[in-house]
Amino acid sequence: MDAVLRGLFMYLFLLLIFRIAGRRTVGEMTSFDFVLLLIISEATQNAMIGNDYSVTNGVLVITTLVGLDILFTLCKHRLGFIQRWLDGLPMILVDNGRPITHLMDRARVDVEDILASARESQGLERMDQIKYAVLEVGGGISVIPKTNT
Amino acid sequence: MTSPIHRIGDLEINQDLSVQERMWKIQRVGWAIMLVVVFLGLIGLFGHGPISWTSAGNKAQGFWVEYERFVRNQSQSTLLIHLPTMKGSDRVSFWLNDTFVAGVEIQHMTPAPRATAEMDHGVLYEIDLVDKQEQVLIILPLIHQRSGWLAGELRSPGAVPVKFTQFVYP
Repeated sequence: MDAVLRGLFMYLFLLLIFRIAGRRTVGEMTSFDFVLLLIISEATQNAMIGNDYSVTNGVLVITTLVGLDILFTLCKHRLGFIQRWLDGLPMILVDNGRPITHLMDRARVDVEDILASARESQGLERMDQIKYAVLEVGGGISVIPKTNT
Repeated sequence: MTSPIHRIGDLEINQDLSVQERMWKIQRVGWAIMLVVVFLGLIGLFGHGPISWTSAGNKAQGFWVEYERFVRNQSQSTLLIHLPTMKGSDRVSFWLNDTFVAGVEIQHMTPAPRATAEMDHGVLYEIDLVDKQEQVLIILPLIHQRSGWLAGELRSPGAVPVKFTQFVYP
């Protein structure tokens, strides 16, 4: 019972804390973000496993986590509002070469982030070559270039 | 059954700024809660901090215990038990209720008891004294084994019993 409850609690807690932290935290990962993620996984592991290193405990925790993941995926697929609240929504940050600054500020995205993404994904040089830049639910920025550039 | 996709300009996209605005508000509240949790952690609401340490008992009669109000399951904490000694005796003893003893794993008691015995729904610990002193400090490191409230009671011959309560976080 203990292992299932620990797995359940930590899954829900991580879901909550990463939603609260926002997309920018997990999108565009820096090497420091990666180290932070490793530390978080270590702390999570300790909280879930405790002092019980048995195979049974490991099996219970893993089954609980994967089971919850399947359950949430099913719920998200069937109920749109759950998907919105768990994954967030995409958001247009550049519309026809014009950065929408008030949304960018709220989403903690800089013009430089968008230009970097435009360079990397499309080989674009300037903001006015971007038709749309969208902050996706995963935290990445997708760039659609203007066709007549 | 996902919600229908909206069209904004040439883009088919599920953008909804009113929902997004609500999400940001909740996010800000979440950040504030995180800040509060960190602060409460620093001052010791979740154990190991200034507001967690307290004492119970009567210092005037020389029998009291220093302990943590808030402790965590499977984590170590310490009871500091101050015992009065009887004149002319080279031995002290104290009794701890069995509800408390059952809820913890007692580590290495210092000084080590010469004998322990089950008595009156509790455990009696007897400790030898090398030199005569008025007061003895017993250091009792514990690892808590259950979450929730844990009530402890200490008794020593000729002294008023000391009651204390700890909250064990899961």
